[in-house]
Amino acid sequence: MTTAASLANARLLQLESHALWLLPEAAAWHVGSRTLFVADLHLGKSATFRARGLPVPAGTTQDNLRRLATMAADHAAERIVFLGDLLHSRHAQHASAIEPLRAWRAAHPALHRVLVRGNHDAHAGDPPRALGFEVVDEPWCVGGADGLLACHHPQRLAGSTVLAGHWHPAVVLRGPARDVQRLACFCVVDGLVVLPAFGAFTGSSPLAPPIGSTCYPVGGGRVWPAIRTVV
Amino acid sequence: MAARPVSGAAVQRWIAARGWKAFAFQREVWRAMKEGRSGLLHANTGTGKTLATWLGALQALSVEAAPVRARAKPQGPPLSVLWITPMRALAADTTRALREPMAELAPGWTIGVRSGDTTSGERSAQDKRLPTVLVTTPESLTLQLARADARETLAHVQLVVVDEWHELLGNKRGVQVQLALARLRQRRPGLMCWALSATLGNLDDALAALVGAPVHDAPAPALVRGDVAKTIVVDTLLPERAERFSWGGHMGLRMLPQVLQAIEDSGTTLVFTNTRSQSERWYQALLDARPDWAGIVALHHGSLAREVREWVEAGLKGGTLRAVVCTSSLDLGVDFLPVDRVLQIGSAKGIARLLQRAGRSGHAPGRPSRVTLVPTHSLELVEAAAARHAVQAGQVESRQSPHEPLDVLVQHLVTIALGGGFVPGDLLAEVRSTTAYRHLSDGNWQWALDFVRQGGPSLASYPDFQRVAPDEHGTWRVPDARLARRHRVNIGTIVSDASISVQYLQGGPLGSVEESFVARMKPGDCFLFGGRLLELVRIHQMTAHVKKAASGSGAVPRWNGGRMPLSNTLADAVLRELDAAHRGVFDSPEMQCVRPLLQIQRTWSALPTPATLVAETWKSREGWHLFLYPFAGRQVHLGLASLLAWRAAQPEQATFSIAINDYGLELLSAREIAWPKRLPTLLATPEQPGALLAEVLASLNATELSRRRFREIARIAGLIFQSHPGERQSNRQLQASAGLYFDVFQKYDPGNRLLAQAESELLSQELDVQLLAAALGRMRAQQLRVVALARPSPLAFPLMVERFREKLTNEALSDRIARMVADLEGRAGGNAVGTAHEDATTVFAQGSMPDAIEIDRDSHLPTRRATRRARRTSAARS
Repeated sequence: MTTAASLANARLLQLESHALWLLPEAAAWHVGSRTLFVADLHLGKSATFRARGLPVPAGTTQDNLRRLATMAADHAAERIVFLGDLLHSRHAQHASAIEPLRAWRAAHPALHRVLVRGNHDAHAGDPPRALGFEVVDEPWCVGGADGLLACHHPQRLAGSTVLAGHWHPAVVLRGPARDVQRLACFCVVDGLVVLPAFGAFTGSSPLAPPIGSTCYPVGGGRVWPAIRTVV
Repeated sequence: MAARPVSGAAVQRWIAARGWKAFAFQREVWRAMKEGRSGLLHANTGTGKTLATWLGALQALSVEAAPVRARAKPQGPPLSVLWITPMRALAADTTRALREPMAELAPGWTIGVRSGDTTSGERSAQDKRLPTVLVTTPESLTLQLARADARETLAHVQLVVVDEWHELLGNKRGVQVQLALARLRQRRPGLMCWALSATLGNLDDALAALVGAPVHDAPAPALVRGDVAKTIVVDTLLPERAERFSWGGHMGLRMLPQVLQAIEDSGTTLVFTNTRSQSERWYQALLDARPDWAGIVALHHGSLAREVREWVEAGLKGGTLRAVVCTSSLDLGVDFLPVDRVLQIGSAKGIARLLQRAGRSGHAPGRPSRVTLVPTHSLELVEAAAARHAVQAGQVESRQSPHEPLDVLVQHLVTIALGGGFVPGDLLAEVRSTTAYRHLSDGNWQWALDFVRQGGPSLASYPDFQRVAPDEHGTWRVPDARLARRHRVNIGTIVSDASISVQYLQGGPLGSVEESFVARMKPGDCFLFGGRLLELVRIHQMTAHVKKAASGSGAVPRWNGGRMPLSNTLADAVLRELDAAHRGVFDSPEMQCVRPLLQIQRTWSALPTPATLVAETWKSREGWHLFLYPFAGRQVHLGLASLLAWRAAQPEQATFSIAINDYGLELLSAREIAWPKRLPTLLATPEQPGALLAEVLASLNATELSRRRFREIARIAGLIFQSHPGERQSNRQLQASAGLYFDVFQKYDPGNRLLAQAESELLSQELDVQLLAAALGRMRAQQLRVVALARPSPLAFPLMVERFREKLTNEALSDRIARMVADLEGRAGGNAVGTAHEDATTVFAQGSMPDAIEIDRDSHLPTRRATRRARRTSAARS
């Protein structure tokens, strides 16, 4: 069950027809359909690097899945929707990325896993069938949440609210005594909610979010109040 | 059959024919070379070092004749001499200087240049057969070592000459040269190595680093000093009034009228600036003021295309140019005889560098050299007076070889694995024969081997990784051709941001700018480059296509060069000048000029002297400031500021913004610190010897210094690499920032020694604990004066406006974010911008993005960079 404690540091985003919790784990939670949304895991990115002669230590895939599993358990989620770029490249089809996914599937067989294909998935190929993903193209209507569309590429679709990834959005906060801090953020701009990247080895965009969007910075275990960008 | 060396008599005849006479030091070099000795020749610029060594070489070397092949063209002897120059710009001139006597005295020899500027045609000719004498850069030499046939092509090298050794000695490029020399010596134990050096405080160390560990029964190396009297004049262009000056960090354009006059009054003038951006601005300002100088005033810096640089160099030699605005790109060797006067905009930062630049004028035996300093802020007037006194007293900085940088070693391992492979035990002995790695521990060596073989000491951390691996005979090689190619194009230790080539839509290349600069621009935006106003049309395959902009103004690119610290030699000299001022002595035009300003400093606060340590406190809208003036140079100030901030953040946690310059440091905090009461304890030196180091390490973890240092290490160790113009995008999926590497290493492989190297480089290069302890000791002996300012003092102001700042924090991230969010809400006046969802606070967006993006489905793998480009183009369309 979703406990009050697990949402203490989250923030409720009231959309036209739905309420969406923005979680400090860099995910979104839709209570009505018991669905978690995460974007841009880029699993197997470190394996891709290693295969091409760049020594990135292993451990990021395990870490990603551990965080997912904890979050799914905390909220008693019934479905997880991956908003694209689940696998980084073809190399992610190798054992080091796929094995942990298989173990995760075995541990939580009832969880409904949906992957909305992103640009990286197009090249990496779909995950093996045995992993039990429902693989779909964007936009995908979220069952049990009318008017909510899951995409990878941020876009606007009339009459609907779009959840997307791809940008890896981040915002720079400035404060007293010239303090500066860059934080990943949720980015909301009419009818579109862009999630921060969930992956542990992904980085964030050096560009500021679009003008007129509202950002919810994530850091220090909390989702912070809205910050609106202007010119 | 071996060709005999040129006879001494022939050399004498050649010299006499030109009406010259050999200096005593030149003869000394010839004698030493005939005896097969290596050595270091130290003499002022323009006294004939190149010729001395070259004529010595001709008299000492018996080159092996080329094997005669039937029906083959007659060929020169095989590659016998390597002439290493630190700069591409020098290579062509050096070649010209060497060719002249060679044509007459050793007509059978051939000579060629190999550098980043060498055209692909020349390259492929050289790949078939190298000339007898190859003039090259450290990077291109290492590339030669990385060739699979390196053993054969370099087998006949008898002599290596390293020009401008003082420029290389103190940095990683010099370490690269040390390793390359060790490699060549191992192949040929009798190899002669000579270095040419100007102005250096520690010649013995320089010689030792050149020749490496002493080899049994090799003749002792020679240290030759060419003491040719050279008059050096240091003077200053004075502003009308010192107070009216801009305060640091500025381009110094206020001095434009005086500079115009100086150029007008002199023959050919070199105008040295400290950064490429500054040179662009000054060039533009000169032409705006004097449009009639178009064509006779030129611009020269390292990011301009080769054609442009060569045109300028030819113009200098031909005497057709009135002035050239340049950066360190024209610092060295090139024999510009017609240069009449040298202007230095801003601080030269060190005595050696000042002498070097002065030597550009009157670059011939017997003529005086003159350098004129152009201050960009008032305090540089003090520096100018100090510099002249230091030059007169003969005080020059020393340079030390870096201590076993593991990133360079890792790169070298891959290089040698490519160049025919290596057996670890043999290579270790060779590496340890260099000064840089003479104390290399077995542990560090084993780690470097493990790193290139399996990513790290534990195989489990890096599954499927492999760069170098032993073959069936135990020789370590690079099995993957793709990796080999990538390594070759990324050899080197000069770290710059990924650069993008700048090219006209129709026409040739203009040079390169950093990708991060272009990434902020949209098509249609203008920028100043190569002295032209250009409009960005599009970016395609790592090339920015531009056209001439109609008119107006544009941004000036910034290049991320390192900032030179003021040398301790010069900083000490400055403090002595201030002491004189404190005693009321103003004995030079510069000090007279800056006198009113120093008096303000004395009235509002106090003048720092060797006996007085001045601290100032001030409360502004930004927060609480502390200014402190130890005059110990940037490096020490950085360490000191981190240490002070760290100590001040105990026991109550705090966050500090740190600014440093060569004179002092600033700590800015959001809450008040009782500085007058706390400073004496905060400045204490711990009793136990290791305690200071432990504290400095702890303070490091609270800053982002190691993380930043890691950028260079990651690049040299081959973790990140540059894309090159015209390259397909297939490497994009392998790009990660150094910061991201730093984070994953810290989290998943904290034992990684490249992290430790980042820390130890910081400790040795940026915040030297020994120097820090010495500075603390010195400050203890000084009398501390803490002044509460009513307004920022002349010394405080440049620190306050310094934009490059460090951060030190031991506060929880959530506490800091809470404070920043509260501050933003406060600034929005409690009347925050409403949104559909809830109250929001306003920040200023730095860039813009259109509503939705178009993804370029055609490109190989659209990543965020491709997406960014897509966003930019659609922004331009809308």
